[in-house]
Amino acid sequence: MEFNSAPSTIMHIDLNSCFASIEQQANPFLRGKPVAVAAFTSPGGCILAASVEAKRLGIKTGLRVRDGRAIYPKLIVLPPDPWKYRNVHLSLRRLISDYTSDFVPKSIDEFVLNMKDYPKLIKGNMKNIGMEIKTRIKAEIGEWLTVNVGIAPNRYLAKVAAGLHKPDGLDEINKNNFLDIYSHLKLTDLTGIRERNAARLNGMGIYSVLDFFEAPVWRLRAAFHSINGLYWHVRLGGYEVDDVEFGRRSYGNSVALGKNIATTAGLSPVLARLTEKMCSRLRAAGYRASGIHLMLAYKNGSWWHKGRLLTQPYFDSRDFYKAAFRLLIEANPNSPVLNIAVSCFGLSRDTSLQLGLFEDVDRKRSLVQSVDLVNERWGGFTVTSARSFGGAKMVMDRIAFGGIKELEEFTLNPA
Amino acid sequence: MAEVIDEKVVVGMSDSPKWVKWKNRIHQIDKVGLHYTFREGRILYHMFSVSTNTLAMKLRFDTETLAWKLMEVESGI
Repeated sequence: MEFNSAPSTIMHIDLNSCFASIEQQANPFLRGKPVAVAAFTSPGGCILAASVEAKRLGIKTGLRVRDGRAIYPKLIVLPPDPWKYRNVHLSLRRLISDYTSDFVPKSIDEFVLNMKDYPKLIKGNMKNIGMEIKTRIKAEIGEWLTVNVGIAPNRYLAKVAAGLHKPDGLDEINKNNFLDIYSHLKLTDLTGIRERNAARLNGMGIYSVLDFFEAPVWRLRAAFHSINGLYWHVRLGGYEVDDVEFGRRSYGNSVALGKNIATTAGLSPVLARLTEKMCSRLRAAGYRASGIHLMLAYKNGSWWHKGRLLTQPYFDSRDFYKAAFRLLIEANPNSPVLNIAVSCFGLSRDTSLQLGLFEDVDRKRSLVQSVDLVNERWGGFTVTSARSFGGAKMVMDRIAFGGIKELEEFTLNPA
Repeated sequence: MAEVIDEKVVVGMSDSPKWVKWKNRIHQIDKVGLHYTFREGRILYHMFSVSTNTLAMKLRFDTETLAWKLMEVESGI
């Protein structure tokens, strides 16, 4: 297949070491030092972001604090401050909207811009626009913040380009240089190709990114046993297959527990708190849900999960809690739990009310709406169930890792 | 590690915070590292991560009471 000869109009922007860089922006005494932002600052806490200086020492996202300190004992470890990161995200969003209205945040620190037919591109070129965005971020948001900019004819290659030179890179993949760039990449350098996919490709005689690009579709389909083979063929040729946005299908909340809890009684306040948080978001978005799912990940590496359909769509936290608590009893945890996650699915718009034979649903809705109004005025959990009190200290404000769904809630209602 | 303070303070402001009076001492602010906002219920708070020549501070301005609080202090690391 010929590589797409169309000009590059897609730009991928990735804020380097997002949480850690923002902390260094806020506090100049942290600049130039190895810094990590971790879910908990205790030795078992998981590192969510490492500064550029920490990464150079080999401290990466996903390590435990104790492992980071084993590499560098003076590592500065900070707890996350979600509103700092959300505000920087909003500032980036405002800045990017000066260039195009056709952009998508892929996560708290990643944006994809389509510049096709926008005046800034008609007047200039993509690399100059990328440079201008970098300069403006430093001038208008924070001088310590750097971004990687990737430019290509499609979204996938723009992301690959953004990863070529970290930090503070600006690269383009186009019809003139793709062979050179592909020849310097390993299969596992490509997002979406990890060891298992690489092994599948190896099995079909594909050992390099150039082999991957040149492979016929039938061989790729055979490697992936699916249509994904065709998608990879199109992607590497610079054509678009990833401009798909998936709608919301569920609401959920999870927490990494900072202490050992191994009983149903110990977990139930946490479950109650998570369920209330999930349901207030569900109702604020105007939905009901007809299914519930619970997941427990244990410290010993094992995990348990189960979903259940409910008898009808519900909106009240108490109904979801009852169903989730039954699942928790079924799980019967007997070893320390690391993570607990609850989610609801089967979303439907909360436009009509199904009256119940045995309960006054209208009255229940009025009560829930009143509680939501009080909490909206005075802050979340001002009025809450007594059973969730014990979970208050454990369920903190966090940014969903890698996810973007929660961004809808604060970008639509910025402070 | 930052020390939690949570005390009322007086702040001199002109476009951005210029000085903080805390424990009867005036600290000149050299730099505003980050300014961000959030809501707790209906109340909008402005947060300023600022630094003096020796301290990093987190200041909070409550738009309902128009009062300043020093939330955290960290000495130069």
